Amino acid sequence: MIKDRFYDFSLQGKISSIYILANIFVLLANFVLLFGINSMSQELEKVYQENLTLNELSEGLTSVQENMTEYLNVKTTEALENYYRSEQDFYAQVQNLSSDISSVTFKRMERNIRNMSQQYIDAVGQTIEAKRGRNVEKYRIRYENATDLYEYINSYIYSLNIEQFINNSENYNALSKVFRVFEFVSMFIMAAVIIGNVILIINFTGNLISPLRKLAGQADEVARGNFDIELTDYKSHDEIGVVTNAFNQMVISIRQYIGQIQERMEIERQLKEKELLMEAHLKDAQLKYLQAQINPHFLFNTLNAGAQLAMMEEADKTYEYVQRMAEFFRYNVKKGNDIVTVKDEIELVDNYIYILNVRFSGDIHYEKSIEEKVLDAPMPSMILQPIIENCINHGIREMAGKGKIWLTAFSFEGQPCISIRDNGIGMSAETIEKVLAGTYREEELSGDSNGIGMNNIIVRLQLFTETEDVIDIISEGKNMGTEVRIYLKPSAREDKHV
Amino acid sequence: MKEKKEQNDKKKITWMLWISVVTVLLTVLLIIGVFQIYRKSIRPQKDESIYDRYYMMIVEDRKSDFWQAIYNGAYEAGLEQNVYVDLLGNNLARNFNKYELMEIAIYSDVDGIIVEADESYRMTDLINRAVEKGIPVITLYSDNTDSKRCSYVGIGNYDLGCEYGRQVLGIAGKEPKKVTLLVSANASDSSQNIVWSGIQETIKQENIQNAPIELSLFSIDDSNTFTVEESIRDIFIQENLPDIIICLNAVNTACVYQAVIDYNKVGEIDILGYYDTDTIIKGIYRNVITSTITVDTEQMGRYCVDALTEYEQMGNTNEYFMADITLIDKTNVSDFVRGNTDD
Repeated sequence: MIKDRFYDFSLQGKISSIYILANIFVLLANFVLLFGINSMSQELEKVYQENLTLNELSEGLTSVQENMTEYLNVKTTEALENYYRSEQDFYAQVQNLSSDISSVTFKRMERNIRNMSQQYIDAVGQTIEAKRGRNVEKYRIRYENATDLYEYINSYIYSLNIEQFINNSENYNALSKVFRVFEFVSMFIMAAVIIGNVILIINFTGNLISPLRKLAGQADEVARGNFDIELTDYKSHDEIGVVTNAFNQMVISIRQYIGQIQERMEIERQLKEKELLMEAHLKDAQLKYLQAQINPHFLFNTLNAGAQLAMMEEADKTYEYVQRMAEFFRYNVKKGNDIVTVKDEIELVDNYIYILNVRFSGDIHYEKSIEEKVLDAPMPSMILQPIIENCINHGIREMAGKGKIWLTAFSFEGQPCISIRDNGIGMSAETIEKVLAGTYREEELSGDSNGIGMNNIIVRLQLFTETEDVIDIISEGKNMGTEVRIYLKPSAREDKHV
Repeated sequence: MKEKKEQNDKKKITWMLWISVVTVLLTVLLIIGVFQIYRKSIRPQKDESIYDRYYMMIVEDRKSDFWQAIYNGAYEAGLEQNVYVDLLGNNLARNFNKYELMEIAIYSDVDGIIVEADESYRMTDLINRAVEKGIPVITLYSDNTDSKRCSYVGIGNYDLGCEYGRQVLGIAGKEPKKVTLLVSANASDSSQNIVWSGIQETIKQENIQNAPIELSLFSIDDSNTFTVEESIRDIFIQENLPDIIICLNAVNTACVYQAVIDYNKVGEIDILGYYDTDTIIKGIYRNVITSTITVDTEQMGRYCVDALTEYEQMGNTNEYFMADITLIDKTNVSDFVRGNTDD
């Protein structure tokens, strides 16, 4: 079937076939109109043909008459030959005339002309014969007869000619009117055909383009990120069909791909979650383990028992040492995560330095200058002790008894400040920057550290004061010592003092 | 869904293809049809029929209603017998006289000639030539008694005269009346003489009341187309006007009718007309023309064709055929008006 084959056409083929079809329509219409015009012009040519024939007949008749007269006058062989020739021609012409008794006037007139002409030819023949027989009287009479006949025939032809001319003129007029009508009809038909063609072409191309338009809409949707579009099925095998199928394939592939990615991401997320959970559990376990290892209560009680033993044996120094150690651990146990006062912290520092001095036989020189009003200021626990620990570990441990630590607590513009300064090896500017930015990598925890790093301190202070500027580290260079300043938020009680 | 859509698309394409094909065919047919119709309207294919025989009718005054009516009668009768009757001279550019037309008819080798003859030698000669050539000739309305014509078709002129006579007597009653009969000055046949004698005889024999009736002839110069009217006007210029004017043809009747009106003689002069043209009928209606005598023209034409056919078939035929005459006056004029309008 044509329509099935039409589906297999390429786009070019389809469009071309439509245009060819349209042109064929126009061509057909043109052919038909041309045929009409041609027939009409032939008709127009025919109109006066009869008049021409009659004129020829009249000329033939005249020629016979003239040649006869000529022969009668001069009796030359040439004239006779001319006469015979013209007579023959005329005879042939006469034979073409109608001999019917027709109801059509022209044909009846033709018949009469034919009969009269035949008699005329006889009469002329007889005249010529009489002339040859030199019968003067006879040929004179016959000549007169023939001439009369000639007059009649001529007049008859003339009449017929006029009648036909009138009729033909009417025909011609009618024909030219029809020609005008035909022109109008032709124009109308051409217009109709062209309009029909335009409609046909618009319809056909619309049909061709509509899947393309749909495809464009879908592509736009896809470009906006919507892959959930209804895919069109276009069965045609033209370029649009190919593009549509490719597009559909592409959308399907993208959908599959997205699905795969989503699936993989889901799996990855689950894995990560699991890993994190495991890590948390591990940390928890580690903590529990550590807690189990060092039960501060046990240690504290044990130390207390040791202190009592020392008191009973009157070993005062041992008593004090153990007592302080017990307090130090109790602080850890009691205030592990609480908010404490500056005083508590300073006490802890005192105990710590005492313990260290006992341990390192008084190598650490420690001076403090405290303003009374700062003592009650709240602060997170375990802030000062790690800083002191840092001072000792990084600043003055290697100084063999020359190391010194100054602890100052004061109020600066209503804000409690605690400064811890040492005269140790100092810190480079980069190290300070790194420490403040929290990117400084601390060394492996040493055995006597409680494991709390500077970063931890800074973060807890920031959380506590709810400001960023909580700490300053000042070092003027190598071996010039380091000062760490902590800025606390003013306590309510202190506000009252102020 | 999609299959359905595809099917719809296919259907649409097929449908459009069909529509286009049908449109093209229709357009072509339309053009051809229009063209054919117009072509036929330009050159109507006349239903041409071919006839066995061909008769020619030759009369002097072809165009007059009287002769046209006779011709139509002959024509109709001819068609019935497969004969074509031509009124010779109708389509000719030159105005041939009836002698020339006779020659043309003879040279044309027709199957029969119907001629309004006269008693001239030339006519006799022509008729004889035709008959010798094997063409039978019928003389119509006026005869050529000396010729070898096979038949004469006409009206009984004597009867016509009698009828006029009776009309005159009817009008006259006891009153003295001057009656003038208009005769052709150029007539070469005897028909008007016979009419004249018919009138005379009737008045002589049937004048029971002995009314003093004075009969006279007035010659009309009809040698030329326009002289008839002038001659008739001459009558009205005379002091002694006739009381009754008898006309022997339709032209004379029409002229007298107009003259009576122009000279304000309506009611004073009775016109006895001839034939039933519209003008004459109107005249009777208006009481200007007293009566008219009409001939059955259709019958006359038919007689001509019948006579020729009979002659051809039997070798001879009646010498005379007489057509009926009818008197039209106030009492029966309405029939003729209707009849005429029907024609």
